Amino acid sequence: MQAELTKPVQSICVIGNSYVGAMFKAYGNRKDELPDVKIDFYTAAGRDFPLLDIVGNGIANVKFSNKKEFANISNYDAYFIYGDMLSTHGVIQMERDLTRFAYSRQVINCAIVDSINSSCTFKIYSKLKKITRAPIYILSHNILQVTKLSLSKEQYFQSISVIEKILGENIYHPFPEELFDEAFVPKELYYSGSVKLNGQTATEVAGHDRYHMNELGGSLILDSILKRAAKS
Amino acid sequence: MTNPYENLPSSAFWKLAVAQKSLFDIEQIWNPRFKIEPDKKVVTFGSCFAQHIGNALSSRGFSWISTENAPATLSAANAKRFNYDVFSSRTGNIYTTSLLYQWTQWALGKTKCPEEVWEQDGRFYDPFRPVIEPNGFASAEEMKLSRNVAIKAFKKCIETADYFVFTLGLTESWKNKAGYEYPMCPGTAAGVFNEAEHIYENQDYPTIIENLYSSIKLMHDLNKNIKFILTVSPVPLTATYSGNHVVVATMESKSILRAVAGQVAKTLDNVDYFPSYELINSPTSKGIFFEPNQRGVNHYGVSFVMDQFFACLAKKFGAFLTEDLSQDVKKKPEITEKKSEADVVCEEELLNAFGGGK
Repeated sequence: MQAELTKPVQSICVIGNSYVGAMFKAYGNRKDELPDVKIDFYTAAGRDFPLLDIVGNGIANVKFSNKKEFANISNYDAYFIYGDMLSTHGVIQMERDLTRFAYSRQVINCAIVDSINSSCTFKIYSKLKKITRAPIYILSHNILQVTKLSLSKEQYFQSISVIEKILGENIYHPFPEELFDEAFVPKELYYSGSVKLNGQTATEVAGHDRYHMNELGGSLILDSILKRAAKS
Repeated sequence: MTNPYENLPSSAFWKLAVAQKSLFDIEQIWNPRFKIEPDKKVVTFGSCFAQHIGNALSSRGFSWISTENAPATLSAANAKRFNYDVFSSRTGNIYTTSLLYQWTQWALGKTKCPEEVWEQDGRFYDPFRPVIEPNGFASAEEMKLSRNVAIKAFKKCIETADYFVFTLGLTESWKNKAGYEYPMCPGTAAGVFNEAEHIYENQDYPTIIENLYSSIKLMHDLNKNIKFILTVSPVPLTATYSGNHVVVATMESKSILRAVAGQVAKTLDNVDYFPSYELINSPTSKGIFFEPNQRGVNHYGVSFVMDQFFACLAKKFGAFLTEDLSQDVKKKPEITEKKSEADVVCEEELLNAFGGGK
């Protein structure tokens, strides 16, 4: 089990893919409100995300960052990795799909575990653990607007339990519930006018690309990670 | 001509073909009947040794197919643990020709799979695939669903294969008095042995060959293009219930199976025999391809057998192989991976647990 923080957080490291864009934009516009904490972003979008790697105490193959130096990222008070890991909805979708094909419960469970363990997010998490004792939290990939999956509260929280059981306690950082409607479908309010990190810029994606959240959604997630990091 | 032997090729003479050569220079040990091209679909079933054939075909760029795939996110290690891609569908070992016929009849709907389920400590096991999942299934229903998938996948193998490679493994078998056969004696891998219900049969030549002919005919009825390549497993018996010494039982069993395979290949135009058994077991190899337990075939042996497979194909049909593949088959046995007995899923191995003083 990952220990809770015991001192005030002053520095947060966010590692991720294009999903980070919305949060990056929100942070950029709200920095002045957050004088006590500094957030540094190290990202690579799309197919570049799997190339992100922890090398020594640093991070390699960063494509977009608000920092210029990547040689040492071992001294942050807290870390958040936000990339390609299977989401709560992804877990349930996988269970349903695999059950339809008559895979056994054992096989389905292993497929879910293997999906999580083989994610680039988990790879980065495993390597980060070797260079820092600070808590490292994992977010899943965005729960896509395109999903037709609507869940009951019980199903949603059961899925969180599945992920926590695989990762260990106090590692998974769920998306704030405010992002979802009562059926845990992501609200369009937080998707329309998506923002993503694309190469070396944080670009506004025209219209609604259904994969990335907008600044409002990013701000919500930003608040949730600040709240998580501030717990002690 | 003073006698018929005069005009025979050197391969017909032990002195020329064997005694005067290094093992690794023995050539033309197989005259393949079929030109197995890399894009032709090959399925493999049978005893443990068949797994090596599937692995080798895949790794050398041939179209070994599996019709029952693991979930995409399942790791290779877990896929193997759950017996995906061991054979072309998740039938588990098919050791006898009668088991092959049984599976074929189920696949083609000629007979129904029995309802028997084995329960142990709250988990449920398939009597016809007792080790297909570690720790069995969560329910009888889940087990039956899984088995139905395997039966459908086996049917798909028959329907789509260009070549069906079957490795004959055993003559000894265990049956239910109702008439169906188990791959393992009940009570070994799972289940409970019941003297009143479970019958031992050391099948004889007529029974084995009849079941093989029947299987081939049924499969051919479904897929007119299917061709068969028979092999005999070179792996000795783990255990015998015959009353004979296990060495004697092994030799008898393999002799019968070899005779069956040879006879069927002689009489049917769509069947060939590949001599993996001879390559491992004949005096030429002096036992060097066995593991220290003198039973498992080591990776050198597997490589040697498959090198001969491709070399003989190349020798006869050479032009069809790509340059890369041609280069590959010219090499001496090269061990690229240390795959050996330990990497093969072998249900029969479980019988070791029941011998005393291991």
